[in-house]
Amino acid sequence: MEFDEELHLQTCATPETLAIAGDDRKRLTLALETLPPRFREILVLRELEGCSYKEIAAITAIPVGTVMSSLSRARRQLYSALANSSQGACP
Amino acid sequence: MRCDFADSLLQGYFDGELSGRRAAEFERHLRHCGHCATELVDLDLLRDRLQLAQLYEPATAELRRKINAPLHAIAATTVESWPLLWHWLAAAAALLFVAIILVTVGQGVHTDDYQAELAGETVDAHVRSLQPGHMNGVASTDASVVKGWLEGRARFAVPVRDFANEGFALKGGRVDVIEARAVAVLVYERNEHPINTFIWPTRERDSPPRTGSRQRFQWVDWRKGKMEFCAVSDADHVDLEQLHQLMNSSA
Repeated sequence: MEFDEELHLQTCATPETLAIAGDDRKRLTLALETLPPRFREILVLRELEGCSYKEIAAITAIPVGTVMSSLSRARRQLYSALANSSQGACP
Repeated sequence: MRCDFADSLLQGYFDGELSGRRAAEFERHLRHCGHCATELVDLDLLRDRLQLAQLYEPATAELRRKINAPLHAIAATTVESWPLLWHWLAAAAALLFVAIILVTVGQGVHTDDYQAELAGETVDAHVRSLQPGHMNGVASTDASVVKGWLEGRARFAVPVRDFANEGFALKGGRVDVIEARAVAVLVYERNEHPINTFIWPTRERDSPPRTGSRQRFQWVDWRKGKMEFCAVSDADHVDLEQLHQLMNSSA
């Protein structure tokens, strides 16, 4: 019988792990919402859609150099927002 | 204090957007900069966290069908009842064609630079390996032996397969250096022509094969499953293409 990875993963998902994953999803969503829309757009295109800088530049109509610098600032702001949310959660 | 490289090169390196030369420059810097090394790890953790969180779900096939069906119906009706629209569509298509050509040419310039650089290094490494006593690896036709040898030396899992039945006999493996990074090399033989297949991890998406020749050697480069492969040989380019297909289907 073949090893079913999906089935195995499903059986590993306990209520605790699901709750932790749900909590992290909520934190990430809230942190992303604090970013300026342009930064959020670029970050999502890169990290979730896997677009190249050139593709992001074409979609957002900004130069490739601006994509790189915006991505850097977006990531820094996201770190900062996540750090703030962690401090709020665990004073 | 932030390192000067953190903004100028680190992001591009992390996203796999630097040319080989710039990436090598950054990797040299990375050996001595704890700040950049830490930031690289943090970036990786953040990416994993974003991707694992499943922040949104793609639309199901059924929902896509429901959305697309009325749109297709509207498009069909509009075209039928408005023949002049074809003129505008033709003009738009012409503009699109020009835009695609411009983008393709732009990408070609970048790709050509990269390919020339990469091809130069892989062909040089191939030629070095042909010198007597320069193999410095494991000589074995047993895929499990070669895999075992590479596991202790390469920092990634190397997909090792023997294609002797298809005319590409595995002869061994070694570790080499391309663009200042350690890469695994599988050595095959085709009609007495040695073929070096250089393999290293990449962050880039899968890509179709790109081929070229340098001096009297042919090369074919492709990416599959976050690994980059570059096969070099003086064998016919058709043979390299066949090896690419065999490796691609087994990766």
